[in-house]
Amino acid sequence: MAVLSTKGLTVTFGGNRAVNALDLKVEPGQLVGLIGPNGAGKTTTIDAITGFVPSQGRIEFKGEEIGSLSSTARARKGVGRTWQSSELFDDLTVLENLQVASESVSVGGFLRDLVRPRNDDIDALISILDSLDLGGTQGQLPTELSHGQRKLVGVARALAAKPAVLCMDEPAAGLDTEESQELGKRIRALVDGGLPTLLIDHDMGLVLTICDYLYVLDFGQLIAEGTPAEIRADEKVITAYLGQSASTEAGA
Amino acid sequence: MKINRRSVGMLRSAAVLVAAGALVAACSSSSSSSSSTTSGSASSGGATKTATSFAQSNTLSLAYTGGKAGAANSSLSPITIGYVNQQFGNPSYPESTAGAALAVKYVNAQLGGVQGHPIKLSTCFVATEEDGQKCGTQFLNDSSVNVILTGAMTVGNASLYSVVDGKKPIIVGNGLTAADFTAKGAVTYMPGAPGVVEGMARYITSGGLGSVKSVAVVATTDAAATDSAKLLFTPILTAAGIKVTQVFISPTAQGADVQSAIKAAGGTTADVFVPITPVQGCISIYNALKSLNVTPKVLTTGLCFGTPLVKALGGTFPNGWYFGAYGVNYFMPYTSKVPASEQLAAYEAVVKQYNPAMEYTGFAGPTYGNVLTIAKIYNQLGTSATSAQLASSISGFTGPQWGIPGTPVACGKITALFPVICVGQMGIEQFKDGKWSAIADSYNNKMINAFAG
Amino acid sequence: MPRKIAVLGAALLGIVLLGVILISADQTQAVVLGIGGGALIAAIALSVTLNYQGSGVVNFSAGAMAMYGGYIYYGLRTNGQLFLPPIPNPLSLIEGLAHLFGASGFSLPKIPVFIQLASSSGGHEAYGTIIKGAAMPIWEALIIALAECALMGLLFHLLIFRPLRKAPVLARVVASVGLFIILQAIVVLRYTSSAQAVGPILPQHPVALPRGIRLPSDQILLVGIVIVVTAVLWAVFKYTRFGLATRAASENEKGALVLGYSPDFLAGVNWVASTVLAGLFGILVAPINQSIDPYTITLLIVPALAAALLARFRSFWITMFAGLGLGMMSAWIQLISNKSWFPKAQGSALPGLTDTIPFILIILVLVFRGKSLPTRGAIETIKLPFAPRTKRVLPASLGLAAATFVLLFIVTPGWRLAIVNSLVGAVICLSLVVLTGYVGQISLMQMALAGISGFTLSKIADAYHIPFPIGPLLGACVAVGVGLLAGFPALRVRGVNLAVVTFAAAVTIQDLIFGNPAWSGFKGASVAPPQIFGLNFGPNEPWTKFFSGGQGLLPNPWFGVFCLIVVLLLIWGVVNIRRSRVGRQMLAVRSNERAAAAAGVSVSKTKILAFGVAAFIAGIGGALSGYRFGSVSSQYFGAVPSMLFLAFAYLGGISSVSGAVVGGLIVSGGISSIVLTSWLHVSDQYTLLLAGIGLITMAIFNPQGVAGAFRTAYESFRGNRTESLAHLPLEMSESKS
Repeated sequence: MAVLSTKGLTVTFGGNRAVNALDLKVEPGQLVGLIGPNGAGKTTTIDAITGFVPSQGRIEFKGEEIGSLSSTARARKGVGRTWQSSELFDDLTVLENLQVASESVSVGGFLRDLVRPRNDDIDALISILDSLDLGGTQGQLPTELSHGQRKLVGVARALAAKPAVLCMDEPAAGLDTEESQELGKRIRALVDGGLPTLLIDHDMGLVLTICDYLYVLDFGQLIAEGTPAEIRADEKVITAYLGQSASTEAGA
Repeated sequence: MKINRRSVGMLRSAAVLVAAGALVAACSSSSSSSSSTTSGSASSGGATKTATSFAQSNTLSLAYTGGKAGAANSSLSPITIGYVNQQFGNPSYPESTAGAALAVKYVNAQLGGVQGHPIKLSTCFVATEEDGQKCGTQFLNDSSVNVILTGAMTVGNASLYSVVDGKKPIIVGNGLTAADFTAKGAVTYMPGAPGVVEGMARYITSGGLGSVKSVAVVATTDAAATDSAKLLFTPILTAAGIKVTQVFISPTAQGADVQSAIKAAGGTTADVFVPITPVQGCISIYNALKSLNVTPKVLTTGLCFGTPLVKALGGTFPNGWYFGAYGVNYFMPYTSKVPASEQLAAYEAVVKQYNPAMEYTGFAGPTYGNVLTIAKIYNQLGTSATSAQLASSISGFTGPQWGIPGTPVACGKITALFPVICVGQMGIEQFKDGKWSAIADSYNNKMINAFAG
Repeated sequence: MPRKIAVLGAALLGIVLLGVILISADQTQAVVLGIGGGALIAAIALSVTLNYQGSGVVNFSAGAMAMYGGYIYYGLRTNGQLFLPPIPNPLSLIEGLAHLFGASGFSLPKIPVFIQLASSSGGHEAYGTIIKGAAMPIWEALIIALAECALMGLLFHLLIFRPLRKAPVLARVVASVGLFIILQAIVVLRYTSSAQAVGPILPQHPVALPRGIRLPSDQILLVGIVIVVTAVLWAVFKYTRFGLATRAASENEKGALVLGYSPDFLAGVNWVASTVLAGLFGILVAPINQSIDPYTITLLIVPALAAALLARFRSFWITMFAGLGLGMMSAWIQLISNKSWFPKAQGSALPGLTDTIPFILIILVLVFRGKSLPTRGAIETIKLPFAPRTKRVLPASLGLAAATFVLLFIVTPGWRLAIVNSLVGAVICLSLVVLTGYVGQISLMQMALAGISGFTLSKIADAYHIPFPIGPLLGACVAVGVGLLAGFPALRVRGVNLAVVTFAAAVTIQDLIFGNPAWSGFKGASVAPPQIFGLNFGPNEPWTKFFSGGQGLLPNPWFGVFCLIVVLLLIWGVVNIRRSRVGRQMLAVRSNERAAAAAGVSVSKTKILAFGVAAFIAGIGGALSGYRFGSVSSQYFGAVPSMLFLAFAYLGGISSVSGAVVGGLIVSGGISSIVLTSWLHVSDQYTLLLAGIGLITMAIFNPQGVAGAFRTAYESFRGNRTESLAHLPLEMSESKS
């Protein structure tokens, strides 16, 4: 059974269909790519899955319909996500950013904290940071980090919530080729470590290299799906999207 | 439109029913800042006063305070009065301080001070509630202050009373809010707004305005006004079988809101229409009645004598309106038969002598009178009077109070609801066809007993 | 779809109301007449919208500007005098020195208070009073008054709002609150607080309309002028390059640059235009009421903000119609307040309801129209100062507490009172630290919530003899209830819009609850002093000195100690909130609501919790204040004081506990007041004016608050790495993606 799937997912903005009747699946152990030109509706799809835009159609997580839940509830169930622009909590240190995602709050806990604040075990969070090569940054503020590090903290924060599936929105945006390849390896390692992932990225080289399966969107419409090899060969994809860039990027 | 100037406007709303000063001392002419001539609109007001000379005023004043003619000896230790007034805030009543300062100057120059000792004001001004507490603390801690006089306050008074808490006697110069009439250890030698409002009701039930079956009330929405209308005014009328419709408006309601309110209260059809508002409200009500093209029988408080109304009407008063006040006013001809009227004339002579440009109306007159009363009480007790002695003399003062015709002065015995009020009589005058006439007041010896149910 | 429901509901309600109204000629008349007052609201609202478009400032002083304009005109028309604000005279220093050396007759020219523009020789009679100086003709006076308004607008821009253009939104709100105070203070200094009579400017003859309705001609003209002004604004903003550039600049400064205008120039022009607009209507409307005073027009900012808010500070037409509608609605509600079904309190129509119904409607519209989470690309950003994780709080607070304790017993009574006032003020500021500092929710209702608690203490606890520690806690809990209710809109309304909604909530609380005779009747609302085990520690309780024995001077320092303990406990709690998981979640929400939700944080629960905690703290403050004065009063806990307290808390440093302590120092009656009056010998006359100037100056020079400035200085001294961050404003919501 798919960890995450959509059936007929549709998002309308003022009469415009940003996403139209999209069916997609993320199977356990899979890294699924979602690609398409600018304005194709990729980010909107992730926003819809994670509850940040209202949508029609079904969204299932481990077979359960989650389309009516709030974004917070979906996150708590295990649908994690990262953001294109990291969207870190700039007032909090790196470690605190992770803590926000990992901790749960109760009334009793709040009252106890008022008298004597207590921190959950942070070793697990430190090891997440270490695994992403962010060791030693935990006391720093996000604004003190490099762009690449900020991106990784975004991933680390998503991981801190122990998601069952992760949606990543352009994690490689703004990184140079080398950083981007390094990131690709880490993402692959995460998936191989048991975290199924839905990945959006512009870096075709990256996506085509590391993904197991791909969906291609254009103007909100699914125009192709298949393995990277199938997509490379797909006529429609080439005309709609790869057309001009395939020669430069796919070869990289 | 009015919406919520209450936020600040409420402060002023005070004025509302209240405003003792304005009740007596309606302003005829004086303008705001620059100029003022005492004759101003008096002529257009219709009354011609016989002037009192400065010498006559000295005789009268000496008779009141019991002092010795001549100046006080400035080398003797002064008698200090703790004086609190709301000043420099919104709203502020600087004319009250002018009245107090004038009285001090006059007592020290002409009335021999207190047994030769000069009197002196220790002033403390309030603009916020915190200031009231500060002033109370300051005067309690100051051993030279044995009596506290207030000018007029809508803010800081409650905390002032709470701090002083009867430990030193307080004379409330011009009561404005509920706290002023219920404070412990405080007195006011005037009927205050409660007296005026209740007296107006009694005048209606006594048939003074003819056979009345229905009364329309438009009052401002601050607690003091609402409560007065409800607790003091309406019950008396209802008990007499008169139908009362009350509608409340924001203290600064204007234009359409006021017209609506008048209609909602039935002011266009009732036998008597009673607006209980500060002077801005009076202007709005006057305009609203004009726009509605109706001329009901209007009975209102002396607050409506205020300068802005007179100016807005081009130097006159609303024709045919009845005004409830303390039973004397500056516009009626001076007469030696009414001591309070004589005293007002004497006060005006002192103003002319020392500070003709000062705003002598509003709260200035009553505060002036209170300083004279303090001098009188000190003259009786001697310069070494303690707070306790002063407290007992002040609450035992039998009057009559300078410039206030109401009798008897009997503190704590007038009304249980407002123990601070020491005078229960009020009067009603009418302005008609350019002339003021006595309806039921000190001039025709028909003062109304407001609280005598 | 809540939005559709809201629109449908509003339309339906409108049709029903219209039907009801038109049945009766009286009601039609009331509604039609309300249009005059509505015109002024509309004009002020247009001025607010223009300001917001031009410079991103929500100008709380727009009403004060209209009032000020009205006074300039009044002065010129009455006796040809142009009044000037108090200007510090450098010559007075020389004079002072001369007097010091005994030259008592020596005097240098004074800066005038008034400038005589018309002939001063001719006296004339106006409105029954002899007035010195000749009245200026209408047109001359109007033009000079508007010219001064234009100059003022330019000065406000150059001196206040241009230096603040990159400052946090809140700093600009605080500056406009300062301006509000200054303008009012100047007018009171020059013309006292009593009303002045104003003659007509527009022709005032009744015009007969169908169905026997009569409307004065000046009101018809006014409405016409408002419509023309709206049309001009609309056309300028829609069709001219200037207007396009302003609109572009309000979204993105680069947009204006592309069109060839500097945003600075646009803001300046819009400031001038909005000030002139407000001034013009202040001048035109005062004569309708035949009087002008420092408050009435000034406080019309409240309905005006509501109207501008309904139009989201964008559409001039909606702003205008909302303004007119508010005016008409108010008159109509006044008329129907005598109906039997109208809500009653003690037998007569509930006072205050006439004022508050329109607000409640607008809040409902906003709430239904709002979104529970900000959408992608939402432009509403509120920058707030950095909220540091407090370190080494224990030694610092214990040291300060010990010092305060000792001071309470040794200083003079005036200083002791100032300390107490500062402690009580710090409590209210602390409540804003949690709500605004940690969670980014701007609240202009904290004093109103404090009042809820104070009145509960007075009316319930005292009446039922509920003993000391329970009474104030009960009061605080009631405040929490009201705070939660009033905070509910925050789930869907954000930023400056929320500020306006909470301001409306404060007005509603003041009018409906504090104004209700059942709460603040003629008997007053007294509060018995706190005591425990028969030990009275109220401020006015006699006390015995430690060493010398004998009675000390009031106030009782033990009351100060009680306040100190309360403040310490609350500081302890608030510091711990910042250090705990809830605190992290609060800051996460403040920093980025969407990312917080994606991290599993319940944004709505966090906000509601913050509103509750803040209301509790404010409630404790209200109870302390009740004990302090021995009574509670509605004006002390009104909407305007709430606005002032946000300013105090912000300037102290709204994101940290130390900021709340600094905020306490600058509240009215606090330490700063006594320094001003006893050390610097500033006359009481100028305290309000100085308070306003102080707010603006501090906002310009310390847009992050005093505590933040100290921290920056301290950390740069220590070479701490966060130095560069402390003065770096951080954005609450996500940047545009």
